[in-house]
Amino acid sequence: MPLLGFRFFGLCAAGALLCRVLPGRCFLWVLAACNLVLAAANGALSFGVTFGCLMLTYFTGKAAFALRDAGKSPRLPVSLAAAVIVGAMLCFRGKVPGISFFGLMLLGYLFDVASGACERPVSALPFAACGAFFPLMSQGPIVRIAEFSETAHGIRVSFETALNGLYRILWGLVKKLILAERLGILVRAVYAAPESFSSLAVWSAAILSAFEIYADFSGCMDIVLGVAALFGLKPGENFKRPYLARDFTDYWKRWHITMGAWFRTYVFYPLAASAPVRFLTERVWKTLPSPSAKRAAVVAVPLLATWLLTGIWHGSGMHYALSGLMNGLVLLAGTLLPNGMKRRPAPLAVLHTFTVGALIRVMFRAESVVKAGAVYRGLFSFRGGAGFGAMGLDVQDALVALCFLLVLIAADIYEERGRKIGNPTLKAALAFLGVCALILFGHYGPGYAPGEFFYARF
Amino acid sequence: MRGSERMRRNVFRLGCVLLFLAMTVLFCISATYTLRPNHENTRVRMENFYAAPKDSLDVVIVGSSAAYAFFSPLRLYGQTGLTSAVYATPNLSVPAIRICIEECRKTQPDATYVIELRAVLSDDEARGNTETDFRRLTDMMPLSHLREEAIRSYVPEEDRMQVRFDLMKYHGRWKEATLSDLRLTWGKTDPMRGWIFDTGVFPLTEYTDCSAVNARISPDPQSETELRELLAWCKVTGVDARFVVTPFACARSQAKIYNSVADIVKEYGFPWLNLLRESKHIGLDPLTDFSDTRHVNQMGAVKCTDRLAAWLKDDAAAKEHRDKAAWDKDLAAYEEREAAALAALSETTRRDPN
Repeated sequence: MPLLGFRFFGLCAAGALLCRVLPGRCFLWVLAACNLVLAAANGALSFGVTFGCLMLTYFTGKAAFALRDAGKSPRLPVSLAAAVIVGAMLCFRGKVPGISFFGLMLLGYLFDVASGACERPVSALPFAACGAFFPLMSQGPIVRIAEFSETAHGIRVSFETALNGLYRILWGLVKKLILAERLGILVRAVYAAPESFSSLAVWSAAILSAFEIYADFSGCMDIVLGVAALFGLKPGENFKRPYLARDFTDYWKRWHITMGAWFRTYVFYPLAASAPVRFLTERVWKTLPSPSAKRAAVVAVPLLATWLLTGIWHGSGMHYALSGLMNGLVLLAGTLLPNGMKRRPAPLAVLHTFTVGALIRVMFRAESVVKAGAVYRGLFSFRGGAGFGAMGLDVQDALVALCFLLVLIAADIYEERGRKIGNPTLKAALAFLGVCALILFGHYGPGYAPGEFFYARF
Repeated sequence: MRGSERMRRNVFRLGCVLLFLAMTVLFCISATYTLRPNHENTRVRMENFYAAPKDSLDVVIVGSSAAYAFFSPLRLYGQTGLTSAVYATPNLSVPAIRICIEECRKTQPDATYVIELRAVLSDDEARGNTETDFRRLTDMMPLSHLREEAIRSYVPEEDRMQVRFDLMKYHGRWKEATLSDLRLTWGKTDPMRGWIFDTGVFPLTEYTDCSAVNARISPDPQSETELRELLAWCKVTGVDARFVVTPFACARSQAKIYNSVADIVKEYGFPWLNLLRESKHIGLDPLTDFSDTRHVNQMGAVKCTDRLAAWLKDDAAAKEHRDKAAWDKDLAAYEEREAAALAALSETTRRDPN
């Protein structure tokens, strides 16, 4: 069941209405039923894998707690279950929607149980309701099941919360169907044959690709979080105006926040604290002269390993692994930066961070290393070739894309300054304009084929 | 918060939500009408019909391009004083004619219905069942049970949603829309009453003189069934219907089929005008009066309209028209443009008599 479909929104509306109408004790039952409907609608394989992994995690969690209470280590059952889930993620990626995201949530729960971070087991109904909460099953955000299920009790959704949820869904649809789809046409045209485009066109595609992915993924998150708000739930933000970051570390605290938190908590910190890495680090640390080099040495191995894994999590293509490594290297380089560099003027810092991120994203966005290489050659060869006219958008569509891109940037800057639109009449007026814009300019209906959300393929 | 305050607040909220929804629906309706394409002038023609006040038309001409390319409402008015409109879309099928008449009778129940029957000859592929064909009709109809019936009759189930809400298909036409296209509903009368002046010339060097064709061939069974169903329906519902076929480059066998069609129509007691047989009699020149093998140009339309006018003059009753002044004004403008079109056609045929 795709996120952009009447059936999905029908399920959301029906579920939210039932939660509103039925007594509070039925809330989790309604959520669980919605989860079941979505899993079934995605086909027998999806249903089987989702349900199987959920059951495996739940019972392993219970077994782990029982072992802990008996003074024994729960590592064996947890490791086995984790191996099965990782296997499912690798085997069914692309065949079961959202398995990569869902798998991380289940792994996180198992690791929390094994490490003692989870104090008591999540019981069956909250686990079924929150562990596979249906809006998250496509592209996250990646929640910690124990914490998330704690919030799902006795919720009565206020009118304002529901309204803000609807506004958020609308904003997500505008970002995806108006902006991301149009930018996608431009970007796909150039990335398909970068050698035939001029350097200026390739640079434009590289920059616009960064906005395309942002509008696409954050648009999806707006829809997901808006739907969650209709149920009174807050799974956690995944984006915090990443293109206004002033350095790369800050950038990765603003982009795909829950994924970064997951890898930081369950990969980076355990690796950094592990005995082999500490041993290696101490040996190297002693030989290094400068404080910044020492700083880099402490984090180098766990950082690069984490980012390599992050890249691999996105897909099996070499370009994903490389883009992960590139991110890791840039972050590592950041620790080596002299302090003076860190005190650049804000606009310069933002521009620099955005450009570096966009250049790395070329590797991520291209279908292969070879294609990425062709794009990089186009960026740095200063050559002529086909221009904007061959990028697949006519002037009017390009103007619409530019207009909404400026709206997106303006909205981010406005929020970055801590401002919010509080006036309900103004909000409603903007929402009405958004609905009109979506109806006129959205890419939907016959003659259009809105691509799946970019991150839905992971 | 006290109960009454809570109630007032909830009522206020409900009002705001309903207002938002109403504005959205209004926008969607306006956008739907504004962005619908013209489909070979179909939109102008159909809108012209819907803009006519209730019970203001003496004649409604229903059919396919074999209707709207042959009969000019303003010329008919000039000849007879009868007000008319054309409710016709390209490739309209015989079963769809019944839906069109029902639709027209909602606002013009007492009009005389002139029904063009070129569609009887249509083979399977040309029966008006392609998406383009049925959309030309359904896209122009306002929301109604008849529109829904047309959609259910012609549209596969998986495509019905985007035909019902045609804004889903046409919203991308915002690029082509102008301010003059802005609409809330169909309400604009076309000064030329949907008429297009065609000044093309396509000489039909092999044109069958159907007046000499007297034999009969029955139409194919499906066509005959559809025709009989239409005739029976007209009989039962008491429609003041008259049937016509317009001239085109037909084969002798097709002319024979229309002779059989004439018999069937007369069997049900309806008047029948066969312009295929009368083309020579009305002075239709196949070398100068056609713009393609199936449609006449302005010169040919003048002759066909005048013949229709003569056929209707004695039987169809002209109503008292409060908007007679508007028709007279538009007629004057039409006659000017018609004279220019005929002059252009004469010039074309004079320069290239072949």
